[in-house]
Amino acid sequence: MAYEGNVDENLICPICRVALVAPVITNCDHVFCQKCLVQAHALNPVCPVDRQPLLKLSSETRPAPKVVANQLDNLTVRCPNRPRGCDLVVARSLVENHVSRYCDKTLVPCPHPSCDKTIARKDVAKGCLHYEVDCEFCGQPVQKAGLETHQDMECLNRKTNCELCDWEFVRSKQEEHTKECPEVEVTCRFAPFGCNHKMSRRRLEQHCAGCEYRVVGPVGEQLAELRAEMTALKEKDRLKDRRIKFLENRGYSAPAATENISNMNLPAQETAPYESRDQYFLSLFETMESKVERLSSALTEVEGRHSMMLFNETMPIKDQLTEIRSTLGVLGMHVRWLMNFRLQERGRVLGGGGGGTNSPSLPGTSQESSSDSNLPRRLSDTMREHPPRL
Amino acid sequence: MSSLGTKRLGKELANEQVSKSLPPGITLVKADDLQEWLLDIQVLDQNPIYAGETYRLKFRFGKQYPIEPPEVVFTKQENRPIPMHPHIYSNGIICLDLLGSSGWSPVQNVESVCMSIQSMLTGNTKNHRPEGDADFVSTNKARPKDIEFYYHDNEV
Repeated sequence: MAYEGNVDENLICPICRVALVAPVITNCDHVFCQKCLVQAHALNPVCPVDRQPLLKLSSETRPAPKVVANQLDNLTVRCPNRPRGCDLVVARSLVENHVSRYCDKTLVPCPHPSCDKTIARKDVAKGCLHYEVDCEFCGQPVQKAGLETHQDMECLNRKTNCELCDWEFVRSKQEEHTKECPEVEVTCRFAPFGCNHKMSRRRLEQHCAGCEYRVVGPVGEQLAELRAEMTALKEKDRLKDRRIKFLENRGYSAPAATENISNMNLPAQETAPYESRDQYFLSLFETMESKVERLSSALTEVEGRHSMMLFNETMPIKDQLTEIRSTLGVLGMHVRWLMNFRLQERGRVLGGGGGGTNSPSLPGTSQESSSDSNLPRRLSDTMREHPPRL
Repeated sequence: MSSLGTKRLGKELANEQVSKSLPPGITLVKADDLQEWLLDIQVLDQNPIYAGETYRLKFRFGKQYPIEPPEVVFTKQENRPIPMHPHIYSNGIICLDLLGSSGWSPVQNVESVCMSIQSMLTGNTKNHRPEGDADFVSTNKARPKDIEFYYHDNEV
């Protein structure tokens, strides 16, 4: 059964993962399709979800509440005869009735007494249609009963109208028509240069005339051309380079060769620049070596730059660190001085007279001076006196 | 396979392929039919026993799936060893209660089984095979499902 749209997760059976059919609920409040639960129970008599024992299904399960059943009944499904042309979408509770009684695409036994095939309900009145006829469009033999669907859906020679532009064409030419249909959506001609517009082919001409990218377009094309040319030239250049190197090598390694021979060899070189493979590889090797050299020098340069950068970055940090350290020292000094001051003051207050009601103006000190005997608890006491405001 | 099984597996497959809903560390390798699937599994935290390794799980679905459990084993291939674990034999058979008939529940699915195995590996600290591994591997001819495991060890 094909459901229209997404089914709520809560209405899906955890065993078969489709919408519940004949839902039952267990004593532990889990809902399953009746069939699924029976099958699962036969193997293992526990609730599949939480493994609570389910000894007898009949006594420990009951039909799911009406509200669940109603929600399930309201789910819309497609008529199972959709492949045969029924596009009906209907509440699940009604679909069975529709198929068994009303849907004229339902297959029923052929009315002819000696025919054992099936036929769509709407064709019953026409008698047995199980004989072959030739399709008038493509000439293929088709069963009379299936002729209509063949012509509607399959026959390639049947004419059809384009959904977009109403143009009539033979179905087998569908692809060709799509290529030229004025209503088909295509991308702008300047898409490679960044235009994101998409529109029907008919309106595209109009768009292209005013497209913001039309100025860039020709320039871009020229650029691409130039680039291609450049790569070709580069390739040529490399070839030339190699040839020059080879020639240099030759002149160097074989100076003893007589002029006569080298003259003889020279014209041949133009067609085949490297006669021996060794020489070719030697030149390749040389270019490689020079490349490696260049790379290593670049590497050292990068390394140097990196260490310089690192140095530059860490210097100010170090400076700041010493600064912070000195500030910390100063702060520590201050704290020590203040503590000393406080201790001296307390000694004075204690000596003056135990109560300490007229304590110094600091708000915390009244508490501290009154309960100075239990020093370790001071912190929590102050906390209780002045709870942090949130 | 029963129609329930085909439908369910089809749904699971669609779910995993279309929405790519598999959790991290688990990838579907092959699911050409509804009888045998291959999945790759990785342990994502820094457990030194499994770091950097990928293991291959083979699921075989019987006729009764999801009513009956699938057969799940590790398979050994190049770059796909059998993970070291006191409940995993060196032939890939996994001793895990939820893969046996009594521990299985039809509510489980491929994804949840993979996640269970993944967490079983993640939580493990013992780098050895089960006791009697060599004996078991050389003598066992039964299908994993039919082996009577004794699920005694709940520590790992």
